[in-house]
Amino acid sequence: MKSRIKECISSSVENYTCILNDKNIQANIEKVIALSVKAFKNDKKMLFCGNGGSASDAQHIAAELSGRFYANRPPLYAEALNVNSSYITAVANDLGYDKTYSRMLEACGRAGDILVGISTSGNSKNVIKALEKANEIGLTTIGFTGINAGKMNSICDIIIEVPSDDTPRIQEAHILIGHIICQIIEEEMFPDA
Amino acid sequence: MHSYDTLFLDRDGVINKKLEGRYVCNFSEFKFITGALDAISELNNIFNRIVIVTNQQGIAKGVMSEADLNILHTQMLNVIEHSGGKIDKIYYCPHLEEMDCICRKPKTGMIKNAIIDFPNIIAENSFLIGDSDTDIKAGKRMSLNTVKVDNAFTLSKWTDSLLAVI
Ligand SMILES: [Mg+2]
Ligand SMILES: [Zn+2]
Repeated sequence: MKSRIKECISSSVENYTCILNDKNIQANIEKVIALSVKAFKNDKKMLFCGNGGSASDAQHIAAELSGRFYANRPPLYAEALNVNSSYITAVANDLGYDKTYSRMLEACGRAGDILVGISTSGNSKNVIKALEKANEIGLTTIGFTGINAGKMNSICDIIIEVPSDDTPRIQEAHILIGHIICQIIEEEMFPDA
Repeated sequence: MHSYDTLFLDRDGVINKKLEGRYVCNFSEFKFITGALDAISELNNIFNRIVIVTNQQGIAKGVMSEADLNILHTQMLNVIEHSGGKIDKIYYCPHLEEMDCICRKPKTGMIKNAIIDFPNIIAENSFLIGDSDTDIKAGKRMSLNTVKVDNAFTLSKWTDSLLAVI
């Protein structure tokens, strides 16, 4: 059992090492940060969505921005589309699960906002539909996914492609990248905080 | 209120002739495609607005400056206005393809900036006209109607076909 535990840890370390050496993913993270800072400075907001573990990533990252990361500073307007279970269950039941995020996005997304769709496969239908709706409305669209970006690739303005096809490793990297983004956005927005 | 909402026009190969292997850097190299000027003024009658979305990586390559491009565009707009047409705004991407920016078509940044500038744009009632697959891809990503033009099926021909069904 000890060896299996170590195997998991070293596969995670290996994944992080790949990201550490991946200039492309780092350049894209930089672009996401620059666009987010610009959006917040223009009084726009950041929205997140995903399913399952990626839903918790969505609300986790949103909370780091609207709550606080390191600094005592004013809140940033960020929210996850999955946080109202009454809404999700009603729309899934009445209109179909595919519509859960696109409908909420249509309600609250505005041109100039940013939508981050999180899907390890890159194919989650409700996330894809939300990204498509977001493009139509004029949001900047960002996809967090794994090595085979799936449908997201042709929809998003920027793709953060974790160089792994192993779902837990992809999700660990997503939250790492979410934290990096939150930290640097906070530093750029509130240099004196 | 017009029949259609917004017309997104690519520039090179739609409004003016493409040059073989180089960029149109000044107005002396800018030749309108036959029928394009008349088409634009006719299209003004059936669209709420017309904007241009054009990739101009010649800027990042240093073969022209943004000032050169702006001068060229001012001269182009003068001619369009003299022939009774109007372009509401020009969006250009100055970046290199390998910079992987969010504005160079097939990315959608220029169209999204238009939506920020003109918040009433209705995608399903709008068209994007281009001569490259990248134009068409950008338009489709934004749920616009798309039309691909070429040497035979020009902007002018498309305009005629559109006017015929109104
Ligand atoms: Mg062209
Ligand atoms: Zn660009």
